Amino acid sequence: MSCSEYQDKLFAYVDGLLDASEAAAVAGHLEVCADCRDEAAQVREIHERLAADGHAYAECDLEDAVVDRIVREQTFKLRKAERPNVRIGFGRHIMNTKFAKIAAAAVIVAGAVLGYVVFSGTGHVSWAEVAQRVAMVKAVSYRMVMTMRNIAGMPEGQTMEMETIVLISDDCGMKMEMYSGGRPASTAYVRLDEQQIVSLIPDQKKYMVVKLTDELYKETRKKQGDPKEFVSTFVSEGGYTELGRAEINGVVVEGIESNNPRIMGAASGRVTSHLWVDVKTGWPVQMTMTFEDDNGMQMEMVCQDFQWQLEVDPTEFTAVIPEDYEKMADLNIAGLESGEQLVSGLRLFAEMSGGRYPTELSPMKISQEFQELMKSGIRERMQAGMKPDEPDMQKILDITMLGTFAGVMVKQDRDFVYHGATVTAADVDKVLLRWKLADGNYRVIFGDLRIEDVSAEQVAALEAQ
Amino acid sequence: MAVLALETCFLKDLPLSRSDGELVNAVLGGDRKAFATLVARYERAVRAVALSLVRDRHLAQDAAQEAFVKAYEKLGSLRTAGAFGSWLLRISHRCALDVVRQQRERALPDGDFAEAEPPAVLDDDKERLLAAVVRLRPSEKQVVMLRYFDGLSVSEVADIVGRGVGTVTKQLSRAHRRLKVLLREA
Repeated sequence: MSCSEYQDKLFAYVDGLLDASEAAAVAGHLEVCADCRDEAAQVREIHERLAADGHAYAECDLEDAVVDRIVREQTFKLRKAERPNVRIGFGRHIMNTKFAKIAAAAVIVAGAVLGYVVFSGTGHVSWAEVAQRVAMVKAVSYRMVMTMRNIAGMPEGQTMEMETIVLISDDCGMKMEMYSGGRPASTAYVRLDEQQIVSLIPDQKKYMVVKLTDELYKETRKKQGDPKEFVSTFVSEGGYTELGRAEINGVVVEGIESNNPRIMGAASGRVTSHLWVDVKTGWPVQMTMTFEDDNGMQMEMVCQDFQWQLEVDPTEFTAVIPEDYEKMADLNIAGLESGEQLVSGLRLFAEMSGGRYPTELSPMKISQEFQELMKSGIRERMQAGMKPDEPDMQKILDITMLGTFAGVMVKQDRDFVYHGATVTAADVDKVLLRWKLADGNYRVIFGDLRIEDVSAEQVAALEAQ
Repeated sequence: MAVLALETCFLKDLPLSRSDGELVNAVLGGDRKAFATLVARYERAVRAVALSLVRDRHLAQDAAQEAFVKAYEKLGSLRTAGAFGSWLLRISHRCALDVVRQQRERALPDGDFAEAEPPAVLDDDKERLLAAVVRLRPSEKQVVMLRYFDGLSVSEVADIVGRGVGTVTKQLSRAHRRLKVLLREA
């Protein structure tokens, strides 16, 4: 062994941690090596000084003083909270209360907003404790109402409201029952062990399966207003203001407000978030987030009716697909490849822009250009010409589908080319977009939006014009 | 007598201590006693950090108390429960600095800084050694304080910090080398 290897062992030697043979070897080396002996003397000196000085810091017990102070100052947090630790079957719970809840949804939301009357007096809620408690929760259910205004493509003043009853379990996954206009629209199941989302759409007797990545799962949770992340970010980021006390649905609550966009997982934008906690139990009873982007799009999310600390049954997260349901996801892509849905989206865009098409088919660019069209007064034309009913939403969906389709084609290496930057509705015989079909031919959508299947040579000739 | 001996043997075979991580999770789960254990475990270390900056026993005691209360309040924001020790020592450092700042502010109206400086409570050698310990890397500082200031054995320290005895021994060995250098510089 070299001197440096012996020196590595000196602390263990001095502290008596070496076994007899190792200790004897070190002792033997120290007898013959003056440098290492000197080194050992220094280790021993520091060792002894540290051990002796340690007593200087051991005057009296802090333990009692600290615990007394914590008890005194934070009576609220140490009071045994009335945890709503109820064992309920989620499905049954929804069955019993769903209709009453949906019928009353608007009233409850309005009431809650009106309920933000700030009481005087200082609060006793410890936000750190709230965050700690929420972080410990394994499963939670709640109702989320999302209201959107000024969405591109929607007539002014019209709002879109979606309601979801969410069940999140850290161990099992998620279940989301979505309602539109008070009617069940779809139910999505996420089982963590299967890494996929299964959505059932009873109206259409269809179902959809989407493979899940960890990131997509996180994103899905966030989109549902994940209360655990909301509370944790709210409290850990700090910078919130105390709102004092108020009453929500007969419950005395205490709240905080923050304008931190990160609470919504956003990088920027005008964000206001509220967290209201039951003063008596210390559990959050309501979370709200309002968001407005630069184009004036407003979104409000209200999460409430929380059931904290549910005991869940893992089978709740498994979708049972009825036999007569049709799979939707694959059909969807095939449907897009016919080109008709794409033409519908492109036509709407051209109608709004006076013959122009989106310059690029990336989802971001499409959305940006679409919103610009909205802002430049085309909204009025839409309002005059079309009713804000289902077909409109369908066309808007078609426009957004363009981006999705382009993405899929590129991913599948289908020789997808789009000429929207140069080709307009007036360029009747110019290729606007094209992609390769399974038989080696190409499907072409021309400037006038007619669809034709042509050979590779013909595509080359058309594009050379 | 035999029963007592048996009990002692039995107790010896039990895991010596719950790790910091286990205790932190217990506190977060509502077990307040677990926090008292953490206080008992780190009080000397926290007081030593405070004393290295504040140089007054009573004020150091106050700063130490403040550090524990703050740690309790912020426990939910601690991402890795096992990192409690070094995290707590950082809080202690900040609390002690706050006390120093308050002392200075209080002294300002008189403009007499010399009087505001409290007399040293440790002799020079002790003070130098403590200052060197406080300057160690967080993980080394933690194991040195637990080993020497709290008088725990290396295997007890290993249980607490949730690392192996070999790792802790290496950390202590490195800490010794660094202390030697720091003391020479002082």
